Amino acid sequence: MATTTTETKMLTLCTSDKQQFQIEETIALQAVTIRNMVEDECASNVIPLPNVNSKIMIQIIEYLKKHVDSSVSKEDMEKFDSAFVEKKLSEIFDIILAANYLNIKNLLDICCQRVADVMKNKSPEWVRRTFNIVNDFTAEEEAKIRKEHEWAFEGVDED
Amino acid sequence: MAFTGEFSRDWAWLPEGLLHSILEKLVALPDYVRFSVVCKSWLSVAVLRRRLNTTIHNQIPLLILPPRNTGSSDQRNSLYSVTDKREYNFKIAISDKKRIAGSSHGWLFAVEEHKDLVLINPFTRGTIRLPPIVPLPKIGFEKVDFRTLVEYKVVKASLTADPILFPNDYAVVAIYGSSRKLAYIKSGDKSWRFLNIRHQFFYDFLSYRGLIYVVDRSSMVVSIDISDSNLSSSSSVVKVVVPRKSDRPKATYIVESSAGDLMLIHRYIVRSGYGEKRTSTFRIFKLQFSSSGEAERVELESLGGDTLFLSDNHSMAVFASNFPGCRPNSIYFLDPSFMIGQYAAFMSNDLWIFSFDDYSLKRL
Repeated sequence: MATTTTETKMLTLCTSDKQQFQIEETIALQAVTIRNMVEDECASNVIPLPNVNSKIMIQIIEYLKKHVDSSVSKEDMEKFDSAFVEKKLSEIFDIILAANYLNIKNLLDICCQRVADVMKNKSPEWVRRTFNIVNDFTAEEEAKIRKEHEWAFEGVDED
Repeated sequence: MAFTGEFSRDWAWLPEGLLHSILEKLVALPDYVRFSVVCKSWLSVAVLRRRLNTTIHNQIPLLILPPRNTGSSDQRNSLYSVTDKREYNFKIAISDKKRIAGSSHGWLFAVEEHKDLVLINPFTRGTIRLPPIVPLPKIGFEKVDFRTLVEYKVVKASLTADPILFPNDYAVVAIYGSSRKLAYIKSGDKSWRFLNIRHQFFYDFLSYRGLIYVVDRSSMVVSIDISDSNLSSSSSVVKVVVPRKSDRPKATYIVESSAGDLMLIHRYIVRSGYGEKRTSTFRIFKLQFSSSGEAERVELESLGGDTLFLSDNHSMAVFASNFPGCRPNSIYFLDPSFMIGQYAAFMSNDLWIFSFDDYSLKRL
């Protein structure tokens, strides 16, 4: 990385709520969507990100800053990642959508893993309550699937 | 869109591609099934994925338990999960004349000794009948002496691909007979083909990245390209590991780790009093390939997050944290030294666990 601060190229990201974030280009370019924008039209220095709000952007920048640092050991990076996803599910939801839009594969990966880990060995009722999902099956429909795969519903964790 | 608002996020209608990404991380089959019962939108994603058949992850192997008391009217076998420590409410019917000589891609190999080899899929109830490996004697089995009979015994059989997905492009590989030779039959073939190379008693084989890897008693590993119709050519059989004389394990298993590495597992036995033999320890080696296709054995001290399941007719590795109750850095194994008779694979109390954390052995 360049040692002189004057040479560090900066980018300005503009979120949906019109907040501007000045960050180093090398950090921002980890997001493939931003990289494509920069490569395609270098006219403007302000990158509009209408699908991401500032609250989520702050968290994503925190993630990108850590991951651009090549001096961090693999073990420390894993520790950072597992601490990073210790958030409310509503926040994880927003980060998943943002990471998908910005095309940051690793971030999307660890967030989806976190969601999957929450569901592991849990009953469908528990998952519905936790994720605030309405059961739109009729009683008959649900009973039919359960009957077909009865074995999968035994031995789940206590709700 | 729900990016800016503080109202609750609609997990039911997360874009399909993202629901796929989450589902992909639910490796254990029961988790996958329960995901599909949460709501209609999730069900549609789960079914789509099942159609795409992208569930390539290994599942925890289940033990087949014998039917309950002979007096009971229900003579079907049940399935038992050693990691969940419970019996699944799923019954399969296997004739007591048949012996299971392996399982792969959801199919069981049922051998009625000295007769046909039948593949049974207990989930779809499909069957595939294969000709006998060694032509049956014309005089009838009752007249054949014991030493000849052993030549018909199928020790292990396995599929290279699922016949449902690849009806014209699968093969069955088997170890058979007293000197444990290797034979294979490709989909559509009328008879078996044989591997005629110098070997000493094949212990195990594995279908790995389009090739068959076979390990023999002297720990020599060869890779075989069975898609090559001219198997005698030097290019289709490659020695990947040349044995060392130093150690003589009782058995060697060849397994693909969850990270995709090829592993050799040596099992050693000790003799205790009264001539009893039992497993004492294991050693694990990773095969490290050079560009020439030869491999070096590198001994490992640990299996990391992996759990191995070893038996003479089916071995595999899973990443433990995907399955509740599964102990990492350990080997679950059926100890054949304890087995009596040909139906012994049904005896669940022969299951042991060996831990690389402290090299301890425990009977489950």
